Amino acid sequence: MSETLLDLSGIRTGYGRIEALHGLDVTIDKGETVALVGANGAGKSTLLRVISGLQPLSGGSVTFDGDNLARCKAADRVHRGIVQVPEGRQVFAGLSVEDNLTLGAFSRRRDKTVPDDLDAMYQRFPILKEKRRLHAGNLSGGQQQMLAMARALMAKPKLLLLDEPSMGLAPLIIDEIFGIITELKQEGITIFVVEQNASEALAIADRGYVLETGDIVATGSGEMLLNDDSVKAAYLGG
Amino acid sequence: MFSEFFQFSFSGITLGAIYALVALGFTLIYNASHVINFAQGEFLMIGGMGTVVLMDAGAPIYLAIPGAIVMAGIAGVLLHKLAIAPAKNADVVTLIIITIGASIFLRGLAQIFWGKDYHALPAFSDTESLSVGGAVLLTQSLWILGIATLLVVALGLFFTRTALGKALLATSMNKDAASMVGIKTGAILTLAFGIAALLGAVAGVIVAPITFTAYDIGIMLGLKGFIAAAIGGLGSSTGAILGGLLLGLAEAYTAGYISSDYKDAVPFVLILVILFFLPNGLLGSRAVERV
Ligand SMILES: Nc1ncnc2c1ncn2[C@@H]1O[C@H](COP(=O)(O)OP(=O)(O)O)[C@@H](O)[C@H]1O
Ligand SMILES: [Mg+2]
Repeated sequence: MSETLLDLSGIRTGYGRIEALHGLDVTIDKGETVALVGANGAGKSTLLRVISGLQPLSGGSVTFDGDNLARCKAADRVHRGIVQVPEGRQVFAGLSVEDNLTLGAFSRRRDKTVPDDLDAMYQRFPILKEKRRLHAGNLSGGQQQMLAMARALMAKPKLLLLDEPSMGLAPLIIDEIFGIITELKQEGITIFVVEQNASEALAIADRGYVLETGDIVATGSGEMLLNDDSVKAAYLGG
Repeated sequence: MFSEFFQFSFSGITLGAIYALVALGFTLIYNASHVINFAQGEFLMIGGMGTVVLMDAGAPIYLAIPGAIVMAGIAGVLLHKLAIAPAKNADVVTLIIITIGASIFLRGLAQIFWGKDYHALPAFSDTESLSVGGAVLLTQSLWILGIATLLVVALGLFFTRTALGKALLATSMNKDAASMVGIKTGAILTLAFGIAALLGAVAGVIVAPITFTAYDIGIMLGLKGFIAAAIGGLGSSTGAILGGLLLGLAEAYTAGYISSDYKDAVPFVLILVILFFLPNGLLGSRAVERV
């Protein structure tokens, strides 16, 4: 019954002569929430950049919704529904919150429903409505993370890529962010979330992968990985 | 006494408006790509010389001017597509050297096909000067100020009111994040070069009736525009405009009160003084307020 949305096969890439990913296989089904956990420098961001078309492949293939994306440029992938919330938020600091959100919908800027979607986004994130005229750079870290997520949602993603959404945030804010991710999951958006901070990500995920220096070393249901002794030892603080 | 001061100020602001347009072109490309485009001056040359050549070929001035401006716009787009974009992994210094090469190439083409003569364009109005309170004002100066103001306002509206303008700002601020919202950043950079070329070409056309135009005017005007941008704090549009006006005024006062022999030394003295006291220029370093 389950239908594959994203199929990564034999992914190889690197920086200069140094290979960062050594031939990974990952699949994500429609409607699934999948977590990728691994230590700093394991290659998590590199993998997400591969999926978004920002990091060129030296081997392997990315198949989305049945199509090979080899010739699909980064901007076109957003148009197709692959949307990333990058590590460290990367909001457009010198633009207003509202400009950040409307730019989120850049790939469908001729769509007449964008203003309605903006209203809906303000209902979901009231704090962004309150701050809509401020420069995004003036928001707190947690607010910037919400803005980055809202900006991505404005593109109407079919596959939402989240790169360390909890990075550098206070525990209460982290709970709030994962609450939002759970809501998005319930709404049926397919989610691929990458975390160094593994426990929260695995707790909300249907399935997980563990990445170690460019290789997948374990995979299974989120629950199974949470209870796996070696995963516990390496990523969950024992 | 006062009429003299008024006269010098007026010609300084006129020159300054031209430098400001050139400086805005530098700023636009610098923000979008961190490249200092030393071919910026050649767009002024193409604007001025292109108009001359089209008029010689029989085109009326109201067609020759837009024709030359379009020519410069195409040159700007080609500069990015053929020279800058293919070198995508090159460092910024290499890209800057490429723009220097491109400027020599464009100047060479102009010298071969359009000749080495100096030309004057006719002033845009039949009445060439007005006398105001004892000072003589060129009507062309009024054209320059009017058109420059219009362009600055149009550019401001482009950046604050249009999706494309905001996409350009977003690309300047964070290229990867811009790609991640679906902006074709390569095309946006080409657009930035095109707009910078248009700004330069307009400046080159409107100044030509006052200063003459020739295949090599781009060197000095480009350099002065760059200095204006650097004085303003490379990367700030407001700074570029202030830097341009300041440079124009300093030149006009030097030429008027001291000697016009020193006029061309003014930019170099001014930039040394300003960067000594304000290493980031007048409005530099406020990263959030770029463009
Ligand atoms: N721009 C870059 N240039 C060179 N090496 C890089 C670059 N980005 C990442 N790397 C290297 O690639 C490896 C994987 O990095 P990354 O994907 O950022 O890991 P993670 O997101 O899991 O922390 C690391 O060894 C890192 O040093
Ligand atoms: Mg990372």
